[in-house]
Amino acid sequence: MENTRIIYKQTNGTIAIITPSPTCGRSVEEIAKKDVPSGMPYKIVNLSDLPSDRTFRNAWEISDAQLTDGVGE
Amino acid sequence: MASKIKVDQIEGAAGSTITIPTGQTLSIADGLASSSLPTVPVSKGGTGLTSLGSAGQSLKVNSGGSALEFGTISSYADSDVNTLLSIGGSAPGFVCRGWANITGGTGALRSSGNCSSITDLGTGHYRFNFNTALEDINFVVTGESVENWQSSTDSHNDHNNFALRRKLFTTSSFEMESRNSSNANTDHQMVCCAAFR
Repeated sequence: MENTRIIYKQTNGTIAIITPSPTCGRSVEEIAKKDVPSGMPYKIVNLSDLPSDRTFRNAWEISDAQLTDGVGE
Repeated sequence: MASKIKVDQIEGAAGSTITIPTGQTLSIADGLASSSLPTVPVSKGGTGLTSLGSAGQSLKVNSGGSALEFGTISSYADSDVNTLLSIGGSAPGFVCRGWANITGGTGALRSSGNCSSITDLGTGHYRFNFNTALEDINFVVTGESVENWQSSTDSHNDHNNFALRRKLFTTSSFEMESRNSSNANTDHQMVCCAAFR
């Protein structure tokens, strides 16, 4: 779980990246459904899939078509 | 017509057991003398006990886990809780309801309590998600951030002006931002927060 992230697109277009807590007693899928805002589609990815250079963090983009792992409840 | 026999004793014709056949019921109108009642074991829904404990005692399983017994059940007093939490004096103590120590920028968790996740919402902008929601939004958030924390000298002056600005909040989360001296969101190396209610 330490190397897993949940990503979704905020209403302002900026990507949000959720780091799940490995000690909270919930699975990554449960955390995604709980902590992704209601109705927003998300994708569960590996940390290595994200850029390490955060210089232009707020300009990161993702296609809606890639957010296929579920929807926030 | 019902028949009646009058006897003082009944004795088995062979052995020491008298059997009531299947389908037959023996009805005893006025009960058995208490001195004749057996002790009902736990396996038959009883307690296996033959005497009452003393005042204030409770029925509990014995230390061997093999039987019931009467005994005193230990409990905490208010003063014991204060001692446990190292709360001195007479003023009440209030515990933290959720906290986290995260790596600024990525939002990676170093350690946390009552936190299901941290959301990185952008540069220097985070959301703390409670694992169990609080009862209302009237909680207090406090925090700090550290930059260049593994160095003896801080060369990141641009990051010195930390401001924890609580933003949108609900009973299940709160947001915060770490900023620089120009009041612009900036990723700090360590961001810590705690909520009290």
